[in-house]
Amino acid sequence: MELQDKIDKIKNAFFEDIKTFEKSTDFDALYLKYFSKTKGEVTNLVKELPKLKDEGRKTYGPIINELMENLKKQIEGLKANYKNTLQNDPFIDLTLPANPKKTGFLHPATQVIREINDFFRYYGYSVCDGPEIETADFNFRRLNLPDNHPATDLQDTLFIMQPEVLLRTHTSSVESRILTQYGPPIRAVIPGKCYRNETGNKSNNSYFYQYQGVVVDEGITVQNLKETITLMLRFLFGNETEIRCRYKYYPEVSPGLGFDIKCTFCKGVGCDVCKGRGWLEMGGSGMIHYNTLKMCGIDPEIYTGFAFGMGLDRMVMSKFNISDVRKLYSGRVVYV
Amino acid sequence: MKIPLVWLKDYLDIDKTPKEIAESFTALGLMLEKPIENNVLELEHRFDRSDWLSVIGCARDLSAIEKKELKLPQRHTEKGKDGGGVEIKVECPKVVNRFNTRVFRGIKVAKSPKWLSERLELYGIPSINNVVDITNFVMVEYGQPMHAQDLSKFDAREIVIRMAKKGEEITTLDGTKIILDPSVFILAQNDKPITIGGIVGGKETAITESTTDIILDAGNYDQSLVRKTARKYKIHNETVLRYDKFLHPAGTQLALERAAYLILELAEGEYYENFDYYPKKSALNVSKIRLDRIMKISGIEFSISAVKMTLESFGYRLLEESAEELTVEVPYFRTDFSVEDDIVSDILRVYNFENIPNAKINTAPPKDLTPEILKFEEKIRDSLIKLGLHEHITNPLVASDINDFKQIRLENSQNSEQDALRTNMYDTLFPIINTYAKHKIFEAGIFEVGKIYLKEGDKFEDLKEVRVVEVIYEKNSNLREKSKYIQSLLFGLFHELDINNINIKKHDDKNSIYQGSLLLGEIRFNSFSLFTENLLCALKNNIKVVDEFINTSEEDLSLILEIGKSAGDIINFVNNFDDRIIGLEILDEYEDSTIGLGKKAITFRLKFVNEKGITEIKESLIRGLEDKFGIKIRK
Repeated sequence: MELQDKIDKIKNAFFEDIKTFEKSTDFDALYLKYFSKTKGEVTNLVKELPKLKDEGRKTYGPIINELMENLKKQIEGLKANYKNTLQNDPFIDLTLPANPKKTGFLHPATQVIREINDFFRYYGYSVCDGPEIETADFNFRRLNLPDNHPATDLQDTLFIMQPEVLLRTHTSSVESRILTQYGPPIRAVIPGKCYRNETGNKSNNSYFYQYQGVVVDEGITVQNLKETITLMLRFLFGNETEIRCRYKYYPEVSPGLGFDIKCTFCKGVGCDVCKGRGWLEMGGSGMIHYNTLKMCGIDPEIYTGFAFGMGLDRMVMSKFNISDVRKLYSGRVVYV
Repeated sequence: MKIPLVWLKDYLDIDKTPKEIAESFTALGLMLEKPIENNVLELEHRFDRSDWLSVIGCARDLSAIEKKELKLPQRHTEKGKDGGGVEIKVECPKVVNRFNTRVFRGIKVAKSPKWLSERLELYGIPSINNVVDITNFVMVEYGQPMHAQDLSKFDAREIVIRMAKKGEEITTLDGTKIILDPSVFILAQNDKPITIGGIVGGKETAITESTTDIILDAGNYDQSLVRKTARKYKIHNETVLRYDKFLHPAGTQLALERAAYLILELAEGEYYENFDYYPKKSALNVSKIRLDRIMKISGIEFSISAVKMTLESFGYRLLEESAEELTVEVPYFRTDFSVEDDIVSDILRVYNFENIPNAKINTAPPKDLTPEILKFEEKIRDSLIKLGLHEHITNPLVASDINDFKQIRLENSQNSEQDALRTNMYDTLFPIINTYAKHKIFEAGIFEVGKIYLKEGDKFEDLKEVRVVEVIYEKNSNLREKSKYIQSLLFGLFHELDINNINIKKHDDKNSIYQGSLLLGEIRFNSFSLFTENLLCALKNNIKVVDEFINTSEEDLSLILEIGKSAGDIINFVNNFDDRIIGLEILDEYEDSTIGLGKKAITFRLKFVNEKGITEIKESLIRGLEDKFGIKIRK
């Protein structure tokens, strides 16, 4: 077939196509039909040029070139036209807000746990978990709390089978499990549910969340504990946060340390919220007790370690402005 | 523990403000329990240091951190006259470690002097008379409870310490009548209970204004029995507060000597020795304290002289000394001592933890121990959020239900609404739908990722914690619409998690979700629950070849099915018919007159890999469906 015939044919076909494509938005398909690098009809014409003699090339070169420009221009024109129609459609009003397409929400506790987990993951901690139904062995004895010790009063235990099977009273039970199971070096955090025998009130529930951290390695000292707590509290409450460490007894550590932030209500002067202390108690910590390491099968003359724990619920409540802890877990907080 | 500052200053010259003193106490481990009032500090007690339940004990630690001398009070250390004359018989030696007594004759019961009544009242004990006040004063001063009784009320010149007999009665000092049982030990005279051991005295032998002869005792008993008894009778007083901690028997001697001094000063009379029941002497602890251990815990270098000075101010007695370590005798009142690190703690308390610098951990992070299931559950949460569902967390504690034989119950819950663990999550999660309704939200999708608890036998090993995700969707609409929606959520979740080859089997009233023979959970008209551990297995079972250039073809089939017959098995049959069937999508489900009464049509689209022999597969699939299920296929 003569080249000129082909050109005419393409022109006609394009004219027909435009009619059908006019209402469609599929400009890309139209473009590809003529200009696709492998199969485009105009592209094929161009491919034939080198086969022609000099004279032919001189004649058809500009013609094909013009055809190309022309068709491309027409497609662009169609696109612009389509856009115009859109903008001029009186029924389209993009200034009128519509209902958002909604995704769901994570529970406030999950959000806070994730935030703190992320912080600790960055520092090389694992996130661990353990059973809530526990033995007195992992919940008390391995944590240096022998039976009938007065300090068992610090936690009112809910028993399933007295005195051996209980609901864990703290996430430290998971600490004694991972120390026993994995051995050093360990860096882990444990967010989890714990239970105490209490009749619920505004700030106490019989079940609550604790956040625990544990590190065991060679050469770990109180200085590392203080640094970790400081970083964590500044991460949670801001870089300007003033932090205080003081001695406090906890059975599973020796020495034990309590950590506080300056009271946000009275700015350190002393008020009823902080019991006149000027500081708000954030949690407990300490160097893991010599006997705990030993009972979990770790040589305390080689390894040292620290552990810390804090209640999560109050943190979640203050972050989300929830006044009653029971609301947090009774579904009285809904997402609207 | 309440510390009236005027009392504290009897043992320590300190001119700091109450607030500054409270700060020093805080560093030592005695934080304020409430705001300071009337120059009385109320300090939090943590059940370890029984000597912190005494003013001297607290003063001693303060003297160590303030580097001030501790001034101990005067005691009457000379022996009294012979002839106290009251015999002590201990019939329960397992319970009584020491029972130390003195007798006073010809004393004058009177009002206490101001310094004494004032100190007691500031502490919170009302002043009664000089003798009773002295026993209370010495108890708070030394931390050793004591007890005075009127000898004229004794029919027999003896005290027998024994377990109570069933049904025995005693009227306590405050007039309460208590019926005893053999789990309790008592002091008895003439076979009548006069005191519940370690807990409270009886009214019968109490000191009155006319009392002239008394027997004074200071005991040391099994603390766990005192704890149990006090809890049983719900008696909490200053005596129990101290006797249910670990006290050392040596404390009884000092307390009696101090009380003797005060009685002779304030009530006069004559002083007699009496029985001191103390069959097994408790030795004092001896411990090493190594400089390199202090270094290992604190990262700080201490000199041996600094350590020595601190330990002496805490009352430790130096036994041996070398350049690297000391050997010390732990003072009797430090019943909290168990390991060398406890002595390290004492040294650091005085150094003050606030003064210890911070330091980064300089070892490499160890390998990751995070269990896969925890990461997977986070992914489930994210997937459900994407599907527009809200996460909730509900209380796993529920009211016990005697008909639920799988329920794990709590033996000692104080709350009858929360005395068992949930066996399903639907019941705790569903009520939240009502909260949404109260907020006028009538279409709500919610979920919880958590645990249910099942009892499969009577041993500890039979108590199972099962990880579950529960999803509930509610809307004001008919069941068909709701159930379609919950199904689309279920399959949406599977799509998000990339879990394939799911089939749902109906047996009885239950619609169970499987992948092959692996049970994944259950679907109901408005909810589903899935076992997350099994879901994780299902994800691992996914055999999915991903090939970008896979060439597929599609074919729509319509089945005609009786209404009420479940389609799960049919879908499963199709899914597993041939490896070359790689997709099945339900397009439509409808009933109309052309199909016939009681029947419905289900149209689904099959996706095949484009290979030779596809036509044959299609044909044999249709034959198979007709043969196996007796259903009609419309092409």
